[in-house]
Amino acid sequence: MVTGILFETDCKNKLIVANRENVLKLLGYTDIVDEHVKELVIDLIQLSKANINPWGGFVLKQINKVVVPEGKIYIDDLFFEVNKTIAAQLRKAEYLAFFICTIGNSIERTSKEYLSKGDLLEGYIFDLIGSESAENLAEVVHQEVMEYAQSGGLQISNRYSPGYCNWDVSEQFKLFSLFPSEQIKIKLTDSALMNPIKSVSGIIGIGRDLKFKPYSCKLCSDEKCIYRNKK
Amino acid sequence: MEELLSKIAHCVEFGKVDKTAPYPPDMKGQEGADELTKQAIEQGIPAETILKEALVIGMDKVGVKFSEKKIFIPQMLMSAKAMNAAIEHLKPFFQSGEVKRKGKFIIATVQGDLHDIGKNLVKMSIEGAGWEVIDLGVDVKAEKVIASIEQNPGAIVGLSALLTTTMANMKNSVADIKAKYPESIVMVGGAPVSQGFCNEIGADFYAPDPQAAVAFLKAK
Ligand code: B1M
Repeated sequence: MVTGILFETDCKNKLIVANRENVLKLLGYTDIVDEHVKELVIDLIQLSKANINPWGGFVLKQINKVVVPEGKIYIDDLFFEVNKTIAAQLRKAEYLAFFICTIGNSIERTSKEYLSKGDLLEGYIFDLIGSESAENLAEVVHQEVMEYAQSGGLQISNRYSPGYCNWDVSEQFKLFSLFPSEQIKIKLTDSALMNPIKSVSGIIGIGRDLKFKPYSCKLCSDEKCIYRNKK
Repeated sequence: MEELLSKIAHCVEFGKVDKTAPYPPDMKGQEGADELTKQAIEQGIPAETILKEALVIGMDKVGVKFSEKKIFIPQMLMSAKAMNAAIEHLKPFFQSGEVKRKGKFIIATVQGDLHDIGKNLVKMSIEGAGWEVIDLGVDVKAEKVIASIEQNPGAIVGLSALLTTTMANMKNSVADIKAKYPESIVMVGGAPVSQGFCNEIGADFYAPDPQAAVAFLKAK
């Protein structure tokens, strides 16, 4: 494993834009779908394709130790307070892949333009397409980390993000400190917000004895999340 | 007059914006909130009557159906669009003071936070309930909110935040606003905000969603 350098993800040729069913689910539809809305979603997904400028990358680091009762993972001279839940999932990890990715700010701008023209439904759908596409991009980065790990005979874990599972979002500062700022396409603001908005960051464990455990909403306490039990 | 008002309310309820709008399919080719409101004004129906006895009634029905899960966000947004088309015709009457809205609501996403969409949905619902909304945008410092209260005495303030880090700025903003205007009413909302946090920072009301925000304002 080559540690400490930025691997840029080849995301241009992979499917990133949101899928219709997921967007419709996020709009609240389960079985009966309004045909007009369905057609609109199809059209807007098509239009969004030109509005997605994906960029992603990851940096590998060797883990010094994972201390589950403390909920901490030690790397170089840093420790990440990931909380016990995440630490337990990464107990057997030998390396961590720190990743960041973004679909750019073009969709967000388009969404705002529609909203300010009064086209509220279109603006909202563009925003959802952006959110879904950012999630899809994180999945693409995840796959690349998996391929890299498997080429060295290692397994990977699920991905975990600062701000989820009681891992404080302010830990984004530590995460971003591992990336060469001049080479990345995301800026972290003073309030730990990534700009562009449609960006995702996180960690993926890598190790010989690691198992991929599917994400469970049971791990998260956000009862009103729009994704809760939808996937 | 009654028939025209109930037609306008129907257009708002079902999201029929204007004659060219394809939505809803069963009203294709019919006049929408835009044309009918124009006609109502031309017929001399007072703007206040149009607002209260057609538009707000239509939006109320939408709110009820949404909270009963009989309709989804898309229908709500189409209704809001129809409502906005009608409101355009009433604007001159708001400006002249002939029509009084229910009150003023200042809305902002707090300093350090760039999230927009949630705030916009809340804004739209509150406008739909007959309030004038002053939207200060995103990444708004407390001073800007305070200046807006100065210009709009008695306005209710709504603050939105989407990250736990910017909730700290929400806390500071509420403290600054309350220090300058202790009698001001501040509503807070956003995905990570909770009733407990609202109590802790001394805000007056926590709205988990736009419907709760509207219900709170209605009771004012
Ligand atoms: C004034 O009165 C009022 C009254 C009501 C008010 C109000 C004001 N303001 C809002 N409301 C309310 O009414 C609105 C309409 O119903 C609602 O507004 P919302 O803005 O909440 O709702 C929108 C219309 C739809 N909702 C959304 O767009 C957000 C949905 C959830 C699932 C979500 C999404 C989709 C995304 N995210 Co993420 N995301 C979550 C969200 C969890 C959830 N609760 O649903 C949240 C916001 N995200 C979170 C996190 C942590 C993150 N996200 C991130 C990324 C993303 C995506 C890109 C994948 C995507 C899009 C993000 C975006 N904002 O555009 C990252 C941050 C991105 C950044 N730019 O920095 C990242 C930091 C994760 C990471 N490390 O990558 C959490 C924030 C809390 C925290 N810990 O700080 C989060 C609550 C999830 C959680 N369960 O922990 C209500 O809150």
